[in-house]
Amino acid sequence: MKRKALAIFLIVFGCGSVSTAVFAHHGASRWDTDAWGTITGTVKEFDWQNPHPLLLLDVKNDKGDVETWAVEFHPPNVMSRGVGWNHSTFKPGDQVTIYGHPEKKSVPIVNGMKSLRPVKVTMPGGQVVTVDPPGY
Amino acid sequence: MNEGVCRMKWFALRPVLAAAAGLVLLLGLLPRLAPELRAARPQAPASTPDLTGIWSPPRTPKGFLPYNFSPEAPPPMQLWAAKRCELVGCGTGPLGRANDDNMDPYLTSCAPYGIPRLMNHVGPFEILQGKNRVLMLFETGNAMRQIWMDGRGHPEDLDPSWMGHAIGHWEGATLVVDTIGLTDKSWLDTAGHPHSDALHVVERIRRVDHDTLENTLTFDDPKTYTKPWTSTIIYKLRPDWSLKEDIACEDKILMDLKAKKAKVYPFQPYPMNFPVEAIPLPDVANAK
Repeated sequence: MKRKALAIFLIVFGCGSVSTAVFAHHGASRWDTDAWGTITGTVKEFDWQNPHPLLLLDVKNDKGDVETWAVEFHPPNVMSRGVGWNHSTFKPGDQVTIYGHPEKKSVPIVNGMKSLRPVKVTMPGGQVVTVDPPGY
Repeated sequence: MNEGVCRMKWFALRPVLAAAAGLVLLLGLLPRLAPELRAARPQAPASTPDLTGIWSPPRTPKGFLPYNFSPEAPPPMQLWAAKRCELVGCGTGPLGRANDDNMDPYLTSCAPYGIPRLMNHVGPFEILQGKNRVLMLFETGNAMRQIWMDGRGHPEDLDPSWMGHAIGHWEGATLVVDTIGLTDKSWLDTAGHPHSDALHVVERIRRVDHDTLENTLTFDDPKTYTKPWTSTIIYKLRPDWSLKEDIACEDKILMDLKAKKAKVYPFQPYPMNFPVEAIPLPDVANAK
């Protein structure tokens, strides 16, 4: 991938209007729902599994180092009915942008991977999909 | 071929054509005249109400319906139940979930949801009506509930189970389901309300309109609650849906299989895909 990876923008807004927290498996209190962040990177792996599909995304940080982010979505059946995703929605090498809520600063980083609770996803084809709420 | 022969043949065939047309007409009308003749599917007789179909709670602007059987006020709890509810944070989490989901038997230990929790969950369920049973197939955990409709009672000295023992009967258009024999290891609902093995659930399920099912549940559990209390849940018909596979803790299963790959899958001729990393729960409780 010669394409220069985009930087990470973590923009903190004072508003907290989103109340559709679901991701309870890994603790709803993990996320800073007052804050918004965007990551763009290359798909390393996509695991279509219950209870949460897991997307590993290689993202370049502002120092130019690649960091792997772990992004989890609503359960497979919800994503399937809501937005028509399946196990081959993302393939290694795809370019993806995720817009969502970052973790609270107080939450320890798990397995060395940062995370984001996704709200909108810019797909490899360029279309923007709202994944929270997931449409049904 | 001359015209005379053709005309003669047509005349000769006329009674046959008329009979065929009559038969087609009769076959077309027959199902309307006698609905029981249409019974290609193994459904209940026409005289019993039809609740078959795939149902799930509707989505609201705030998310799915409540997860909480008592969203307005706490149910009338015994002291121990109130203490546990305070610790769990019954209904105080997002969308009426428990606040401390690390105490959820499903999330911590992959325990089944069980009854009655499954009746108040986002996952769809399908109702099938047989001759002696009504079946509920739940997508969540791919659980199955059988409701005996043949007039039997509850057995003596039931073994506690996650789905319990359910018997039912019709009161007009309402399916009345009586369930006991439930394990105290399950939660009553996703809000985290507790229950004991003495829980007795009576459900009154009826079709409010073609697309809407209403379930009024009465919980009688004197070990946990000071008096019986009720809750009403609405489900919407999902005519275009089908039930999907739903394996609890599939992520943990895949991690376990990955660790045992060499033992479980010898002679595997092609590389197997497993998730690269387990994502354990962060220590949110101790985070400031």
